[in-house]
Amino acid sequence: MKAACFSLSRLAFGIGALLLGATAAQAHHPIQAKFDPAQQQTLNGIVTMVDWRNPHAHVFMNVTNGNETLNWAVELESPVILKDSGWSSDTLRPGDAIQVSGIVARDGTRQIWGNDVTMTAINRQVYNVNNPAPSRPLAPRPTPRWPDGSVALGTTDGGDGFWSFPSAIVLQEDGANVSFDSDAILSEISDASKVAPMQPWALALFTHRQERHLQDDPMYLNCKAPGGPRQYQSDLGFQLLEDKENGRIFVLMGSGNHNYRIIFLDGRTTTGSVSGDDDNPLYYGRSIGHWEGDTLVVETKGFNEDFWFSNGGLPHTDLLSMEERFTRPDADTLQYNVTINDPGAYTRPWSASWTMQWVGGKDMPPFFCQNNRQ
Amino acid sequence: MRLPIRGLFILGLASGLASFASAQEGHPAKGSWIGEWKGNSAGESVLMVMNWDGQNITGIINPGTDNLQISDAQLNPADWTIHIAAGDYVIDGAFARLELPNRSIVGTWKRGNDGGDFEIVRQ
Repeated sequence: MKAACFSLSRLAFGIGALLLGATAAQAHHPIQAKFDPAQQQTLNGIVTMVDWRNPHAHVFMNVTNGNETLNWAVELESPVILKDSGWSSDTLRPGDAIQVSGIVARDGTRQIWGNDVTMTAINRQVYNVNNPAPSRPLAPRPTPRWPDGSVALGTTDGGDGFWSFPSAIVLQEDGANVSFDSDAILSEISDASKVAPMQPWALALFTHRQERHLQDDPMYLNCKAPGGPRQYQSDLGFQLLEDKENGRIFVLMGSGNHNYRIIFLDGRTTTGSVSGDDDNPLYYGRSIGHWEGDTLVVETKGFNEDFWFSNGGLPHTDLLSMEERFTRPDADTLQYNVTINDPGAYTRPWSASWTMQWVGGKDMPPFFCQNNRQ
Repeated sequence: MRLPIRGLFILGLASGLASFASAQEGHPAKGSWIGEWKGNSAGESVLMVMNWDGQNITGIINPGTDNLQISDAQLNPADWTIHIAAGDYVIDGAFARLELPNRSIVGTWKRGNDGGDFEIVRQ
């Protein structure tokens, strides 16, 4: 974690390290891993510096209480998300008076997650995030198709667009209806066993991860890409790029480092070849697909165990295989269904489903996790 | 004098390698483990390899002898303790730093009248 945020820590060192204590900044992470929702606080002070960089922007402020002035770090969403909402690095400048309401760091250092930042001189709220899903047309637009009549999973005219706004951000069995918050943390830890049919060790590990507020998630600690079905539950979206000539679909991910996974539709199998792609387990496994009518069916196996395959921290093993089914019932909706078969971690196969919404006319947000290391 | 030096060397090796432990987010027992095996006349280091087939933990231990097949291994996820039998050895330990790739298992081993403490670190 420290390595992932070395540059941020180094930048902040000059003005804040001694004042704030010896806590290294964390990578983009579930907010609750660092901040305690039960500890709300409001601060009034003067901006001393704005650190506008991924994974999270920071505003440093001096807060005076009596004869004592202390420097606080206000952590905000990523500049990518803030910029999408109309903000920039000079929205606030040193010397501006602000009021910040938010939740403070669990470790007692002077850090606060800014839920609300207001310029007190003009009573203007700043750095609030407003990123609603695109409004849907009154009548569903028809599913786009290629000249041969097959369903297009992206655009057919070369225009911009991607899939985002998943209807569920946490992997759980269809019908479980367990409540999670927006950071993929269980509302009630006692509901852990309802999420999926886990073996005892997997349930204990899942509970352990949840109790630690997902702070050990390698996707955040090490800038790893989302693996498995997690690719389709990222708030940064994804694209499906079809190479029909070579029988491949590239899944381009908006999170991680804009990595890609390949689904082969050229008739190969999910076993490796002696020419180099042997049967070592892979991060994305080996995916082959075929069409059943208007549904793309993808079988994947051969996963390694280097990642968490869900936002909530459900475990998996290298015995995992998945069947994914993609349908596009209209131009703006992608229906996703996945059947998880992992006898190493679960007591039986189980399925989960959700939808994604088309975001037309724009490309995926330019979020690159390796920025943390620069 | 030789044994402590060798033991220190192995510990140093294990500690050094631990920092390069590959990610392993699946079953916590799975992987290669190296560490200290106190009170063993054949050497105070141990190598252990464990796998998970979905139902059983399998693998080998090598406490300075030939490899010994693990005949029984039981993980209790309620408190993250593990009981292992291999040859004449009976091993009981508890996981520490469960969430990290370089997690460890700390406990005791017995073989007849011999026995001692051990600590192994996942590589």
